[in-house]
Amino acid sequence: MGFSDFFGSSVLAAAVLAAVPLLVIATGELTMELSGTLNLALAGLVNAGSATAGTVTYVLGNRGIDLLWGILSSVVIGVVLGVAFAYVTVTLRVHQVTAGLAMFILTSGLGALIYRLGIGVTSRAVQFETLPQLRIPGLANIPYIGKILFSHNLYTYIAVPAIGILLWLLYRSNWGLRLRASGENPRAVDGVGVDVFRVRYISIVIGSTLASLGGAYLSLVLTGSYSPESAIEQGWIALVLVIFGQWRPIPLCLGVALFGYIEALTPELTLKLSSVSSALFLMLPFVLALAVLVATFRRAVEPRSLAKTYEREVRF
Amino acid sequence: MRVRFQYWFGSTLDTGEGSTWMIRWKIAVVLVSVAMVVAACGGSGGTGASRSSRPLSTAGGGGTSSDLRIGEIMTGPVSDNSWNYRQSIALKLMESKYDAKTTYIESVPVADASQDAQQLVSNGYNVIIFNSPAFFNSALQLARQNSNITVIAVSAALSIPDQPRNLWLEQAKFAPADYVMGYAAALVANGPKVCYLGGVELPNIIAGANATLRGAKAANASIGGEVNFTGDFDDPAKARLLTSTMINNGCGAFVLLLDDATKGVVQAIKASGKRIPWFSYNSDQSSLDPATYGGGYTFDWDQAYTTVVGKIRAGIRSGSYDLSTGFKLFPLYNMTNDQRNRVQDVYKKVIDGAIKVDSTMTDKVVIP
Repeated sequence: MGFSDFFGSSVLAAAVLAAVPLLVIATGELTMELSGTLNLALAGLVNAGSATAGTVTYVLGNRGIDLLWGILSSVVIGVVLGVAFAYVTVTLRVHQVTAGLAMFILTSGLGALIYRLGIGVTSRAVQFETLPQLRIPGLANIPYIGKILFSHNLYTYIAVPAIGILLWLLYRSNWGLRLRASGENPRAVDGVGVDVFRVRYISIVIGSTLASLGGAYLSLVLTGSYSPESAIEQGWIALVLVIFGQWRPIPLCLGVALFGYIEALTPELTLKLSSVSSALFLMLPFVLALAVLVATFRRAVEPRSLAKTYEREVRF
Repeated sequence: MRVRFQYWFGSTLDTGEGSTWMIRWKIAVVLVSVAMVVAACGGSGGTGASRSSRPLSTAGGGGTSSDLRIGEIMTGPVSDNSWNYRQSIALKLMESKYDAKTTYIESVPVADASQDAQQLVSNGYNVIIFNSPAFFNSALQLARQNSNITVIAVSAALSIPDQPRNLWLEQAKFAPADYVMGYAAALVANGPKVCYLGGVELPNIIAGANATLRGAKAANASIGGEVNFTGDFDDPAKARLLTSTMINNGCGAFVLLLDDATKGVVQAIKASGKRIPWFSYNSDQSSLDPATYGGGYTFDWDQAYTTVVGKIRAGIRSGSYDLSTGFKLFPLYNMTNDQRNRVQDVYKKVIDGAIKVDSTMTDKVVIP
């Protein structure tokens, strides 16, 4: 295998394709975790968003314009599920792990239920309309780089800078400082007059919406179909990536890039090293996830109040 | 009096006057319960991450007086327009044909098959169908433990040693049909290779891959071949990335043995901007991409179910049924009349036995 097998423009373009949903979903989870909320329902949220976006697009006519409604519907389901999760964990103060697992089970089934109610079992194979490739004039023709970075779709061109802005806000703005402080020492934040509950509500809604939007990418960009397996897999990998990134933006982005690259490289390895069982290569992303967890978890310093419910009245 | 203590994960519980911990736990319990109900109702729309069943109490042709109650354990979702969908149609046919009550549990993980089948038996189902060779051990176990019911297992073989007297085997070899698909793919390939993309490396599927390559060679001696597996019949994301890479490696036509993952392949073909024909199985999937779909085949599940269930009704509770040469071609698309005729001719020869397709190459893929 040569350089182009590992770093050819096709492989790297595929890496971008695979990394975008991970970036969106992982940033959603990061936003929640920084405020002190561990959302184990992440994979389910991705699943619900994927099903909703695809189903709404299809039901409305499956034309180009319907993609917009599909993506908006994934925002709506993300907001609704985010508010529900926030209400349960922030207002009712149900333990986050318990609530997260319950919400995961719920959203795992909810996605499929939405698909079945909207589309059902049909004799005609169903494929959702997908966002077309949008080559950016001029830039897409740059040798090597053009194919990797400027031959994608509108979702990618909007999502990547938007996530960059969100990460900047999280780490460089007063709003981000309050949010992160709520995840470190909510009592102190409360003491200076910041409404911790409000901060956590907002972070959960933003995070859930991003997870749901990541799901929309799977159905309306990557595959044109709804697959709970793909959606849930992406959600769990994104959860691992937050730990990989040690709750910091640049390591998170590097982790996303690495996983996207492995996803893209796996088919190449499968084809070129045909004497090795393809099953071995299919395990690669998961083996990497496990290795990453082992390697980074001990060094990682999570927000001090992560997964802890905040109760204003409790005395220590 | 207020008493505080640490519980799981270090949170604080307040059990004093006006405490809310009990309410919270009740909410959590209710949440989990609701979640499980929704999960069960939702089942699996696209593929099999979760599973669901038609409610046992309402399944089948309501109001039937027949004692024949057929329950099926399915490996994937019935909405896959493929293996499970096709068999769900055949199952439904049993309602009108034999006045049977039917139900199914879809997207069943192999590890849960025995338990789910036992649940069907407990609910009065007296014929249990396992629709994939992956369930074979569960089928055998169920047959041995419940002599009063009859089990039908889709199997990799037509006979087994000490076959229970209440076990039917249905064998569906892919090789003959895949040979025809490979032949057709080679005629219309838009590149130097005919490529086979399967879900999981199972013996029957490996034999199908080998037959595909040999069918392609029969049509075009200079054509190359390539075989790959996504590791999952229902994961379109993996299929999409793998297909893109295969197209870059010269695949000019695809023969697929995938279910929901087929959509990922189609997406990759569309994204490539090339007119790369593809062939599938179990249903006419031309609606996914009319411009590139070449055709496909299906086994005659209706006939298989009708025959085997008919014999069970007649008191013959054990035997075998071979679907392999009973496959049917769907209409062939995007090819000339001459190409279409040549494919039909090869199809007839395979069915008649004039062309012998090797179904025994089950160990590994050998590129001819």
